[in-house]
Amino acid sequence: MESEKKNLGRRIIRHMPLYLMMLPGLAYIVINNYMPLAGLQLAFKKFKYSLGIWESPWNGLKNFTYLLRTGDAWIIIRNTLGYNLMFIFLGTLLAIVVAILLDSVQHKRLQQTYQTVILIPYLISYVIVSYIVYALLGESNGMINNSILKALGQQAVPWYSDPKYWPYILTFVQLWKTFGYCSIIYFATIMGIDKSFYEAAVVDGASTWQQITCITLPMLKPVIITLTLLSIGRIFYSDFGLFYQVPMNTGLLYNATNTIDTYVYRGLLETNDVGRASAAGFIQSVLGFLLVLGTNAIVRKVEKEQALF
Amino acid sequence: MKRILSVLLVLTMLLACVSVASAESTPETIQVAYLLAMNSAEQRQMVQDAVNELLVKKGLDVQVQFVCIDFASWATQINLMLTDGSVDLFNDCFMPTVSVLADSGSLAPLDDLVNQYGQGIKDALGDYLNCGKVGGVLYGTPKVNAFSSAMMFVMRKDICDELGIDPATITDFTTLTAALEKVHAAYPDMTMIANGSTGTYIDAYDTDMLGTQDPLGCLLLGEDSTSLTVQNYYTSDTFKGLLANVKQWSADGFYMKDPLNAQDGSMAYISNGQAFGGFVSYCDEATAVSVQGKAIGKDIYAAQITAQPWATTSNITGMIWCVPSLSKHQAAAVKFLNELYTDPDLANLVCNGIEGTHYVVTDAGNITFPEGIDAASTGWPSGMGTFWPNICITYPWSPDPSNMYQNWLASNETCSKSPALGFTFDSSSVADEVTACATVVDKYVPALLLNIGDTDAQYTSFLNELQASGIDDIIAAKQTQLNTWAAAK
Repeated sequence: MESEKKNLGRRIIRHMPLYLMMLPGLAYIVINNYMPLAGLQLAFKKFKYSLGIWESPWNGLKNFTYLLRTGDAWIIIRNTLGYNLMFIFLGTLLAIVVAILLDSVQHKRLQQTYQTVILIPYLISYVIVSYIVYALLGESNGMINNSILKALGQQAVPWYSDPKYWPYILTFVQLWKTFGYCSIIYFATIMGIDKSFYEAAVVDGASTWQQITCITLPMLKPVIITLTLLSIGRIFYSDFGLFYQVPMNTGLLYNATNTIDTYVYRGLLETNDVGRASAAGFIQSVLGFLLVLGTNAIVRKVEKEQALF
Repeated sequence: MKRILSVLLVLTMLLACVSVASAESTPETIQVAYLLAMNSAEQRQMVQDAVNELLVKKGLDVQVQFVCIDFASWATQINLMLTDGSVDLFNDCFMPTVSVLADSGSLAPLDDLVNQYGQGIKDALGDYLNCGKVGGVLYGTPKVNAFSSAMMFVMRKDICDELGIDPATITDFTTLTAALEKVHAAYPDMTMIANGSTGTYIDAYDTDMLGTQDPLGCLLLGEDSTSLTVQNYYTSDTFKGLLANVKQWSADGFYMKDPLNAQDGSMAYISNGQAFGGFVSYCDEATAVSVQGKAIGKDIYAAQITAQPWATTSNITGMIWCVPSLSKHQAAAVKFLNELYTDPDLANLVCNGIEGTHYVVTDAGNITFPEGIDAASTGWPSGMGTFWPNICITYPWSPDPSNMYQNWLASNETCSKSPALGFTFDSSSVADEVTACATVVDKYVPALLLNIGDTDAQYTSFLNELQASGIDDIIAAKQTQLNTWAAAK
């Protein structure tokens, strides 16, 4: 015990430069991520500007009721969770496939080119993406209606007035925009796999498919679990740009495009209600946090060493 | 020894500070927010110096600093400043209404301050000052303006003249439709009725929205101008009549292509020649021509479509001056505000700039730019006079007649007044319902007013969803508050 303490003291002194290097990052996390936690109380308060955060009167659960009123509640929660589950599942799948394909490109120069090219959509702002989508889907001037469907002798499709197309459009746009970025992380992991595994597999007569399922995927598992857990933590959030900008805030599409974030934005735009906005944030972050704890507990139960904590 | 010396030094400095602070003659400096919508204010310092010089000359112990904020960041910026009191006087426009801000404790009650320092404000506004009250407490002072408004259709003058259309013959939706059909026949590729990217292209008309900016529960002035019964605008004959017109206009091909994807304000489409006309709300045709003509940059006519202009609380409180509750200079702010309402020299300075530098007075009694300066190159915004509390004591810009603002004031005496004028609804008790209904309105109304899709089915589900979202609760709450207000009147 005594020697352990001594050891710890010595370790701290020995690694002092490292601890010092950690300080700025630690200060950032504390100031930016932990101190604002005190603001969570706003979700339960009737915020008065003249009184400030601490002095404002408590309000019970009144700030939360607007999120649960009427049929909207079901629609926005369904949309938020549904889209996010879809994005997590399809996004991971696509990213892994692309990473493996990228890894099997032999030509180094080509590989680097592809790697850069697939990143480009990730760097485009959603405002611009919304116009690209509009250029394709616009009813009177859009490319699909005018150049493709017309040439095929088909009726023009009113994309922007029928919500039934939008689950597919939004999923496609999101995957197109993010697959490059996500696959880079998997690609980097694949690059780090010891090549002798594959050489041994080839010697044993394993096919490419067997190499993927028996070597690549198991090696990727920790990364997949970590990234999925991180996504699950944000499952009650939605990309505002995707759900607000890309459908161009068209009312007729709300059934397919309204999520918690866009609902709160539209509903509170007129009222500037700090308490009710915080209530939405509270639900998103606390439920997300609980989901991460829950998922991690399951992972720990199934395979202890793969759990995050 | 050194230590003792330094302590002494610090002490003397502290004493010096205290004595400066306690000196009576130091004027209070207040921060006044100014919205930059059209052009920048490079010579802000020059105008600010002139204002402060004038204030000293008048013996007022107030100095002013203008905080210029761009239109795009206006609402966010003001909201931030309300949380720490870094602004002392601002115009509540293009952001949540006074009743919402008052409910969140952002605004200082002004009754005592206006009684003490604001006689000029009271004289300038008369009974219209009551529109700044929420629940009997004064939270803002409306700017002096032509307070009534009617639905107008503004349209290209050159095309009307070419086709022999006399705007005076357009007096209602029927005559408007006939005129538009004539223009459409001559210009088949042109959009007849422009719509914009935000909101709807035609405001709720002949209604009193009871101090809010949405017609979820309102008085239908066009149907009964004396009744205090709150009704649902969207089930009214007024709205149904509008929908019937919309169907006709849509069948006639009056709207632009892909109207739901419009990217500009509706008037921009008239500016760039794509559209013939559009709907606006003003007190009379001359004002619509003057204000919109400048914005559009083309010669236009205006035709009044609804029977008469109405003065309602919502019209009057669209721009209203308020003092934040966290401001440390509330009395000074109201003193300065009082000067803005009463002193023509000060009003001209803030509305139009410095005489000789930013404007010159013409022989006709209005003002124009000095040689070599235009709206784009001037150092103080020229078209933003209507932002300030009292444009009616300043010079109108050429080519507006010199008596234009007198006509506005006269119209305030003669216009039809809503029976609920002065009442402002406090929505905090039905905030959930208002939020839910706002989403439903956003979802359906833009498409209904452009006749997109199966509008009959949409209209039915629109009304059902409004019902489910609690519009009846909103109407009942409005009615209760209105009855209380009327009984106390």
